[in-house]
Amino acid sequence: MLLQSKTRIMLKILVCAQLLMLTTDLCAEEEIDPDLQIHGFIAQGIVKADGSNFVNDDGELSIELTEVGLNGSYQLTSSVRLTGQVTYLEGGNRYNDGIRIDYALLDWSVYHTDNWQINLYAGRFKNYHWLYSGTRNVPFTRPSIILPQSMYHDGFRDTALGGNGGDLKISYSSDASGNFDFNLSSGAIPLSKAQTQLVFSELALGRLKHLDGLQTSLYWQPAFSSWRFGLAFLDTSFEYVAAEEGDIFLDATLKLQHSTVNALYEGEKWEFAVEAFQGRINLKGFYLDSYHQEKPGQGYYAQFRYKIENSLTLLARYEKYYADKEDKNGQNLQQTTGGLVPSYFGYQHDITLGFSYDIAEAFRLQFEYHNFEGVARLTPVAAPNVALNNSKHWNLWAIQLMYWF
Amino acid sequence: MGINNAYQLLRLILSDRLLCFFINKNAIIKNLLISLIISTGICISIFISPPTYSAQIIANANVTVLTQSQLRRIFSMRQRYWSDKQKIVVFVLPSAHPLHQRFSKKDLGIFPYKLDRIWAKLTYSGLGTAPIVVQSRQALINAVMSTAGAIGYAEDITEMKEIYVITIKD
Repeated sequence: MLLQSKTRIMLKILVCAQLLMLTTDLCAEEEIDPDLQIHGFIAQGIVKADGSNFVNDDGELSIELTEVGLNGSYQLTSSVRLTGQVTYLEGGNRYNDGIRIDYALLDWSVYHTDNWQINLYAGRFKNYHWLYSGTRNVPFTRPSIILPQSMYHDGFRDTALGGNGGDLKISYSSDASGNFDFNLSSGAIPLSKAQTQLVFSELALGRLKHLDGLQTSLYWQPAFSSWRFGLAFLDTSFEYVAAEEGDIFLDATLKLQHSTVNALYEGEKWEFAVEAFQGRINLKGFYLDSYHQEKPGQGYYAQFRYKIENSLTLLARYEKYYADKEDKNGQNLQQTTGGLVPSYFGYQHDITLGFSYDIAEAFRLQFEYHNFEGVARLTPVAAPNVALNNSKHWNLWAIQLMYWF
Repeated sequence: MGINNAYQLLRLILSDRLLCFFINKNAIIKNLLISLIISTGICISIFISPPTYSAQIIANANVTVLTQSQLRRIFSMRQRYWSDKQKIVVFVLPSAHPLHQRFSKKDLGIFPYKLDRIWAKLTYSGLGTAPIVVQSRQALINAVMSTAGAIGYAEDITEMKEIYVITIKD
């Protein structure tokens, strides 16, 4: 175990060194090729969750807070571009470790005038529909290390990441009415066995398949305004195919619907963001052929940031999440499970305080403290560990150092 | 007794008026001095302190006039092509550079950190590309000169053969 940990640390140092060397090479390059762009990021942190297995089962200090990414973009013709990003992530129990193709796209600029810009993206696209979903695994673009779990549940991270298919983006800019951005994406993401077990627990020997997903959003920024408003809608379905032998679960279908509204204000010193959603999870089968469960979930957060100076930003956030908005205190959950699942598994509320400090250009230190009530956003999503999460109140702190180029 | 009282009263009034005069006089002098200092300060600030220049917008494209809205669209990557369908290549200085800060706030009317966020979102999500960052003013001028369709900013340059200094109209 110790050897494994040391090997991982050595590997991390090696990857960091390689990336830094690449950055130095890129910076040393004097010839500018406007058609080719290479960027990346690297972040390492430490995290500790007291009173829950959100990060790890033993509750000890963890270094499983690693995010590395490298992307490239090449302009093939004046209207066609090829782009892709590979990431390596470690997040403990939050999501599966390893290398991923974050996105791989052929970007075709279909129509463009001074005011209109229409693009079609084909390949592995990301979820561009929520405030932070497009770059949720890029540390320096996030307001905090751990994003609000009501909206950005790490357990569903891979399923909410994006998909293989197509995305249409229409942007319109007007001096009178402001900027409009419309996005429509359709596709499915292949899920591994590990990702299946992150949702359904290690007892699930079958495989979760993402059948299709349709997502759309509309954003509006009034002319010359610091405000931006958005609406988003998601409709997606999954199928669980049980293993032929030894699987205690049965075939199942899972449908998710998710409606979101958000608003963002970005002033010179102050920033305010609010995002609220209402969702519906519909599960048929899985436990019994006749089993049918439909839960209307609900959540929101309000987030304030204040720039004390250009390099120092403070963060405060208040968040609420209910797994079932008709059972906000979780009493029904506790009763229907015969007391096996405590009521506080039915909600998760969070108060976050933190700061980020820019040590140098493209080099940032971020710290945050979370105070949670409830444990409704843990993994495995369908069967969180009741024994390890025996506390209604728990807290988490994390510190992360990040560099990007 | 009556005369004495009247005399005392007159003295009292006179001395009070005199006092008031002195008090008012001091106040008037004080106010005059403050006004003088402020107006001198304003005059000095007008004639001595440097005016806040806007950056000059330079381009290697067949463009001589842009509106501020167009400029905002181009630098926030919402307009990616010139009117003649040529791809726009945007060059900028590092975010903390004083010229970039001034250009961002004064010419674009966008806080520099917001520009950084817009560009990061495009770059790291696959939706688009960010401007190309060069390290010095001269490197920026050279990059614009040598790249077809390029746009950037500079200060204190006269029009050259290879680039246009663009007029920004409201």
